[in-house]
Amino acid sequence: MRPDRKRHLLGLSLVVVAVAMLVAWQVPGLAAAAPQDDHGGHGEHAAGGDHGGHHGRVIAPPLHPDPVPVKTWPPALILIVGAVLLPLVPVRPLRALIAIGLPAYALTVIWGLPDGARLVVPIAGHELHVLEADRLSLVFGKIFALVGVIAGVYAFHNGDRRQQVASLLYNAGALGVTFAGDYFTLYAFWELMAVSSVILIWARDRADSQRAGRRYILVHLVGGAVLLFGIFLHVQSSGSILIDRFAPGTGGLAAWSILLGFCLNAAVPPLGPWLPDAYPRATVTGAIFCSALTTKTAVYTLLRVFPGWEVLAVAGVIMALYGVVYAVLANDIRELLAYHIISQVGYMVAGVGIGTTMALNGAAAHAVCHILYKALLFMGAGAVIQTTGREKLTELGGFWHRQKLIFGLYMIGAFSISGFPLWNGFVSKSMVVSAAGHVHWDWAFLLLMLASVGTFLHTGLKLPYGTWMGEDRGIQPRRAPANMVVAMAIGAFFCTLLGLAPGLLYQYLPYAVDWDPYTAPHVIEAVQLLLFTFFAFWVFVPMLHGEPTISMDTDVLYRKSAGWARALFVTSVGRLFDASEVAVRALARKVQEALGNPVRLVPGLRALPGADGERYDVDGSRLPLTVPISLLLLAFLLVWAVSRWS
Amino acid sequence: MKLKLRWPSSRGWLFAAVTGVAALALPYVLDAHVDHGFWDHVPGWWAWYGGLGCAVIVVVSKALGKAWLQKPEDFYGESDDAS
Repeated sequence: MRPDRKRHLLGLSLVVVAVAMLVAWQVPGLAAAAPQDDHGGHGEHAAGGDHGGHHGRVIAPPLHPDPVPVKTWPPALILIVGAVLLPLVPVRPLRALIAIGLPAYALTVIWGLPDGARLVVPIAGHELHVLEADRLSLVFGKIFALVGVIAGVYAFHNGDRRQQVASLLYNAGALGVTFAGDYFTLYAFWELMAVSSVILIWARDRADSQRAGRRYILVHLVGGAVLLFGIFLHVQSSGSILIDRFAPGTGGLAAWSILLGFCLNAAVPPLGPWLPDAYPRATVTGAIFCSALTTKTAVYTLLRVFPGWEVLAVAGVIMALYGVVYAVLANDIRELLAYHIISQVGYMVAGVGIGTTMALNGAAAHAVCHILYKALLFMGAGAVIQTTGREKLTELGGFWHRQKLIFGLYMIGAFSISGFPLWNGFVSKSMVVSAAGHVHWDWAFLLLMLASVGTFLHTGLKLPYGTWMGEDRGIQPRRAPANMVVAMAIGAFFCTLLGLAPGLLYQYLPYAVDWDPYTAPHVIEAVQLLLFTFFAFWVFVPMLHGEPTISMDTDVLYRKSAGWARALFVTSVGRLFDASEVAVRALARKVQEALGNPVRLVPGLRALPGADGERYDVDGSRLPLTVPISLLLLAFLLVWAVSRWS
Repeated sequence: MKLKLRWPSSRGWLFAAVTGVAALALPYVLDAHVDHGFWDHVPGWWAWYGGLGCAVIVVVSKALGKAWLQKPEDFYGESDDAS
């Protein structure tokens, strides 16, 4: 066996064994053995209803507010109409202003929606619930619209109509999915997100972006098809197109197909390599929308349909660590951040899997905080690319003193994602992690804490160190457009605000919150963890420099097999067509040759003088005049005889 | 994979010693103790967990990368810098 293949096998088997051990060791095991007392819980306040019952875990009740019919435009429709009309605006700054104003207007509309708002549109014998608001969809709707505003400010200097329209449609897709009450509406907006977001990748106008965009859209269309398959099965078996929960483990193939479709967009490994493949190749401004919308919309749908599915808890913990491992190896700064999207979404997916009120609140809160700080981090990385033209750690370094403001704002995002006390990640991440502690899933608790060590290590230390500090390569960054810095400042403001006053966030979460992250033991725990991570980083820093390599992810399955697929479906089909054409031409030539002189085919006529040539010769093959005259006479006689007879 | 480490300077040591000891002493100074699992009985558990966890993440990821995951930039037969 080739050594390369041996390594693949060894690596694969290690991963399989690790996953199998994790699954076998835990899910029902420790949870069943968990004491059913109420001391447990990590934090001083235990969320009500989290204790006792099956496995010490009570899945949060569904939200079914009383419907309130409304006559407002759905927020998604506002953005779609705006996106259609926007390219007609000739003045560039005005267009950019409108691209900020539309999500801002959508935000005010969402703010005005009552809990339970509902708009039903009858179409083709079905009632489409195009707008259905409850506390879960409202909090996601608000953050999606808000990040649309922030990213719009960041993109203000960019007059590219394609990107402006695509971002609005993308934002519309996310809002449409969020407020969809039925599966058809959800599916339509789901696909709108896929086809509009790919424009933001293609718009970079580089060959590698074109290729990555093609892979991205193909993967998402396949995921969409799996989702649609599940929707059809579900509608067929239940007779309803309305979105509702699947109780854990129920729903059969329909539920699993829908789950698979959602998980592909949430970038759950092994379905997630599209994310670090595509996002680093998106445009500087487009990547902000990408980092905020697709995965978090998927988290929202998981929260709505699959809370309490234990498989998601396992998947989420694996995700959180998976992103960390790849971030060690990443060289492209936005690829590193992209792998940390996977890692952070892992916390949310784990929260969905745990399923208690605290866990679901934590997942929603973490989605909100994550959208804010990840947008800020992507904006920082984008500013570096915009001002230096470089995006790899091996090409960056040593210019922090020439870009202090952007560096400082980035670090606020880094403190937030790392869970520093005073910033929003500390509040929301600890809700999910503590929810795992509350139900005594110690394995999930400890592994998620380990992943947060990795988060600080990469996003808070490796990336800023490698990008702005470290070896001075004499980089003289250009001035960043002021709007970019303003957008970063807005992001940093919200990250800090929600960290200092978590109550502002709590009031919008789906369930009542009883969680105070600022207790002495919890703050001390964070301080110890982060400080000693920093010490270890300091010792290991020579091993954390970027390397000019790429990391193989599961997309190797479709990227490396492209050659074989092309051989099977393109080259071989082409050859078949070529060969058939040659055969058909040869046959045609034979027929032509044979029929060149049909007289030759009749044995009796061949003997005629001049009839044996290659081509039919009128003179050579002409019959003597007596023959037609005789035939004519014969015919005349026949006609006469027949007429006499009758 | 080779283990490459940087030994802190004496100023670095001083900084680490002061802040590290302060962080480890905090739970005793503030008398902030909790009991959520075996780890809360290990003195300075989260310091250990942060430091060693970080080391494990770096070493394991680099080893996985070297042995298996890291590939040359033209692995997929296309250069990233293509324009």
